[in-house]
Amino acid sequence: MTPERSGPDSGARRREATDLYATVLEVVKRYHGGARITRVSYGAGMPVDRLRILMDRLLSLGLLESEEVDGRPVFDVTARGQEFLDTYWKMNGYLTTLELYDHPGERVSGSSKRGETPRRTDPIARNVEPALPALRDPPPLPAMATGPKPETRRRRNRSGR
Amino acid sequence: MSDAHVPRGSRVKLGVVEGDLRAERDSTIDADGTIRVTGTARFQGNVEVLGDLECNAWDSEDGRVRVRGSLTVADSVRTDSGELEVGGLFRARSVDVDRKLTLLGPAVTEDLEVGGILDGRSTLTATTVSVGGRLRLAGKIEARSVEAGGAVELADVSLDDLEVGGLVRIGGGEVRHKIDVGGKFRSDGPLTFGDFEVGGFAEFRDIGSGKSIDIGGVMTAAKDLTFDVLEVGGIGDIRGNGKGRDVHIGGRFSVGGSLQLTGALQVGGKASVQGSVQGESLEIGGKFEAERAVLSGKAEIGGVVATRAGLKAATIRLAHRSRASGPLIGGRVELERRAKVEDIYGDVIELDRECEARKVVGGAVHLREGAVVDEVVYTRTLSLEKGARVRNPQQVAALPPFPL
Repeated sequence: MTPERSGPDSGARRREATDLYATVLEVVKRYHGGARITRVSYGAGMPVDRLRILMDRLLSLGLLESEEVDGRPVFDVTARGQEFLDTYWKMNGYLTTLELYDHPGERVSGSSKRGETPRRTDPIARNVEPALPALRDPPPLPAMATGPKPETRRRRNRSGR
Repeated sequence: MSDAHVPRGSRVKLGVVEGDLRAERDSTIDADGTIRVTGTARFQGNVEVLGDLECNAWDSEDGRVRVRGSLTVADSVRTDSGELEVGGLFRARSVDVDRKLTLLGPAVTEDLEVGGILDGRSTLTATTVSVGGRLRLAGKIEARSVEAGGAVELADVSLDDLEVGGLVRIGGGEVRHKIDVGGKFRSDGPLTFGDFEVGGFAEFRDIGSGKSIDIGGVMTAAKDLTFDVLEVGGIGDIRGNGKGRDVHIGGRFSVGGSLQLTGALQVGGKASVQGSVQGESLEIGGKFEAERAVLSGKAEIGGVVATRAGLKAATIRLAHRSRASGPLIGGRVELERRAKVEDIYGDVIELDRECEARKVVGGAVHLREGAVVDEVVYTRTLSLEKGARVRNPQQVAALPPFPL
């Protein structure tokens, strides 16, 4: 995320596999059928080797589709992938609400030692505030082959949400 | 034509370059006035440009290029597997950066595309902005469309469309056409918008005004909310006043002030309004609470009605085993089996089997088997089926004035 970053001081829950799937699908969606794996890795903040395994899984589940453009694979989200995203975000909203209702009086939880970011029950704050002020750089990529850059980006109409 | 070459690890001073500039990694370029490159400026690896730079096109690869001053590119900026940081004003026709673009000053461009992160400390004016990962901008953004795959934090917006996969936090402003967010949305200041679609959670911390609002999970509005249609899959909460045409809530709905509608209020679970409710029709699956409610059409409640001043509608129907406190006022009022209510006022009133009411005031009153009413005041007919009981029936020439 957005599905939020996990980390020792992020105050956020660990990224589950479904969070990672959603992260990747949302980034792929932004390229309207022309997502290259390197670009997705920058967007998702994930190394290419790990991302490749995850994208293979999404392809086998029918959530992603790929085609060759200029000899390189480009990816797009399938209708089933979009359905997954819709369901994921809706469920995420419900779970956030249930968490709030389970702990109605709780404003700050977890450690509040000096210098640590408190964990807030405010669902937006909890997700955005720890992440946005400290934008993280994408991980380093393996050396890329140089040479002429094929034009892989193609704009096309998306299937609507 | 005389191209300029800056060797690896060197430091040179440049002014006007009639041709292309090629700077190798770990080099530093000092500016003799403004560096003007008539051709393409090419960079490989980390390069520092200590001043303003103007060129026809920009092409960099790997590492990070920092331009400490302004950067003006007549045509396109392309950064492959690298980063770009601009300290001053940034102008370019189109921008395509793979990893990260940092803008310390204002930026003006047509098409801006970043694969990873766009971090801006000032304003951005563009036609389209597309970011694969995260977008943060401290100043105002003016654009036709902004889209991002991850998280977006914008201070002030003037956009046609905003489409984000993950999280959005905006200070306020205007999104004229559509806001489409997969995950969570929060606005801190006043926001006007066209259509609004959020998959998970939406929070308006200040007044919000838009057309169609469609939220999959949960919506909260800290102040007034104006809309055409409000549709929430789970829970909706407006702490100020709500004003619009229709409201459809799958779960729970609460309003801290009043709710003024011209159409329908449909809530699957509980609806609670501190002030008054006004609209055309009401359909509540569970409990309905309000100071008062006046509907021009029908009101159907599945569970409990609790009003202080009353519920008034052309037709009121209470479901099997429902309960009502506060008067029910209708043209036609129907209670299904075993409903228990206080006072009913209407032209035609029907109580199904084993219903109970304290007082019924109507033109024609019909009580089915086992229905029990303490007091009935009627003008035309009172019909009682077997086992129905009225302790105090009273036929009058004209009914007393109804509440509301």
